[in-house]
Amino acid sequence: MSVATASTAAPQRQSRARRLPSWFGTWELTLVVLIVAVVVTASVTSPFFATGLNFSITAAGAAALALMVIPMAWLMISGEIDLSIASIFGVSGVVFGLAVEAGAGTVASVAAALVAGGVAGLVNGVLVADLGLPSLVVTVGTLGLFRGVAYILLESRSISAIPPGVTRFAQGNLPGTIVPFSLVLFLLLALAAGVLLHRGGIGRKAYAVGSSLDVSRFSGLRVQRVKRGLFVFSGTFAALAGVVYAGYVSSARANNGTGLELSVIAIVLIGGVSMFGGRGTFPGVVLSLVLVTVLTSWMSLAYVPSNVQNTVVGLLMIGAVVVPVVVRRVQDRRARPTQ
Amino acid sequence: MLDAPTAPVRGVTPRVPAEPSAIRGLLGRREVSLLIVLAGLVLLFALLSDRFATGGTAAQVLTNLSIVVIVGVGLAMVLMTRNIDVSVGSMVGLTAYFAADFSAENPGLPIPVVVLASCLLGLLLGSVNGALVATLRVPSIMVTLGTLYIYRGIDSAIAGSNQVTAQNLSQDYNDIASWDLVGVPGMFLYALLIAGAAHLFLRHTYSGRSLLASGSNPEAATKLGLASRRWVFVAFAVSGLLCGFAGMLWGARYGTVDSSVATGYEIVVLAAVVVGGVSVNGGSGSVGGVVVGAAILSVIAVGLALVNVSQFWLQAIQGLVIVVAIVSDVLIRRRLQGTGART
Repeated sequence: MSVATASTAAPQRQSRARRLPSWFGTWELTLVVLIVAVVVTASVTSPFFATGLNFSITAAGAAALALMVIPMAWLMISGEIDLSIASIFGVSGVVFGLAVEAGAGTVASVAAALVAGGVAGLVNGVLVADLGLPSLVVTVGTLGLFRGVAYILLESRSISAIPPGVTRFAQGNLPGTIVPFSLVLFLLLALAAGVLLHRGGIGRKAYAVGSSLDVSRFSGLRVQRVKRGLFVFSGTFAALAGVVYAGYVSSARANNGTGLELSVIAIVLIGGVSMFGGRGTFPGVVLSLVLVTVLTSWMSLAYVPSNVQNTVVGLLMIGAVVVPVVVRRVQDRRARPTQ
Repeated sequence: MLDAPTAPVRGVTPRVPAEPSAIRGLLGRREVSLLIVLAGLVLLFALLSDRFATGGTAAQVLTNLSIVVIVGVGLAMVLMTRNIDVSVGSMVGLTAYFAADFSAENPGLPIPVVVLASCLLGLLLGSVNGALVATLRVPSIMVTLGTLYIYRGIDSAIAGSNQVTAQNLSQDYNDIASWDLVGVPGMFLYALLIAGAAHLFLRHTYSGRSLLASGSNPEAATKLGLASRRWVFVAFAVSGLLCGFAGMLWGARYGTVDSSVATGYEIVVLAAVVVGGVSVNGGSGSVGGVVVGAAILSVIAVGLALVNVSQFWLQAIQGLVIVVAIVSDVLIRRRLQGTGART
């Protein structure tokens, strides 16, 4: 059984050379075109845009967001959603900071943060997978709960004594290049996640659960285990992102990352993943991440205020969902002229 | 007629229990248990702090919960159609700034005009949500996440770093929120009126019950000839309208309005509505529950402040309350219907 369940490629009549792989279809092509368009326009209108320095600043700044996009893509393909990731991001950053303050050393502090994120993810996982609650509303609740815990732990303080190892990792580039360390980390993890999603057994399970819960169950898939695992995945990566971000801004605060969940979800949706699960590709999500990043970089250079930038992303997200619906309707109407 | 579907529609399992008394029993029990929780909390805080059991505190609690109830009634209607609206915070914020600024720029304008303008703006914002969800079938979480961003962005663009303060506003505008009737704050009376109207609509009109039915079981409702999508649109439009009214009240009540008004407010309102027993699966819940749910959260917020518990606990408690309410709702529902786990 091939993985091409999400494929839009035509049947075997097309020659092998012309058939697009299952993980790169029309949507992904459109995203590439859009990225090229934005990059070209931005380079022309803003001289600083196409510089190495802008590249490393933008890439390092987007690293935290990018790390959270990875598990969210998997999660949404499996038909669930996690609105609390930004809060897990925040509370893990707080745990990291507090551990550092308590003298626990870099490695132990990072580990503590990852564990905190994993536990938070597990809470979500149990609520959704074992108790069968709708992830949409449950994670709105845990969004408040985890963020609240972050505030209880750190109140309005900020911890700026972030270990130099972490700050250098989050802010620095590979020696002599414009490539940030955090970008390398992201690329490695994204590559692994993408390959696993499209070629690995666990990836197939995620798609299966997203496409049809009942069929998956009747096929013997341990749906609960898959979903729980995906939420723990989401929580752990959110924690990693939270630590990287704390290093990047050299500060751990309870309100770090507030509101980021919307950007993450918007990016995954613009990447072609359907809210209902079972559809979308990882390359699509990565391309969408690139698109949104270059777009916001361009807007920042043009001094567009961040609230307006968010509006543009919001519009893009709605467009990403509305356009296929409209296109499908037009196609349907054309295919059935008698209706 | 709508309480007890007699002939099961082919291929569809109605989720509404067959005996009407089971529904009424559940609702009756839910509201009663909520009132008990509320009474318990009031008692607790009265014991913990002498300043709690005073008229001033009661007025504060009532005023706090009024805006939550007004927005919550709209949100509850959306939830009843099995959708969600997370853009309520942004809608309140945008209409609050619009109403305050509009009134400040045109001091001679009669207040009813300002109220109407604010409500119309809210209606427009809500209708956009409704149109995208009902007509284009875009999932409501996505639409309202997008409009949460978009409306807040518009608010920022219009307001810039401006602030409209109580001094800019006419006395009439400020007066909307500060009157009372034998000690009961006017705001609370507005909330009661709106809640009462909504209750009558939902329980005692054919249209209202159609709305509930379309959320309870959309396929069955459509087959029964109820215009499900129309009610979805109506729910979102009403949500927007009520946000418009609430936004106008916000400026009158809190005096200072800028582009950050009501940020994150959707969590507070959702907590109240979910605690009040409105199911996130659609089709059930009551306006009375929303009022009591809002009261519980307001008592907690005011009580915590009086007992000197750090306000930082509030958000965690609100989030926990949402989770606990959903869990207990689902568990009760399952026990009543005897179905297995379903996702």
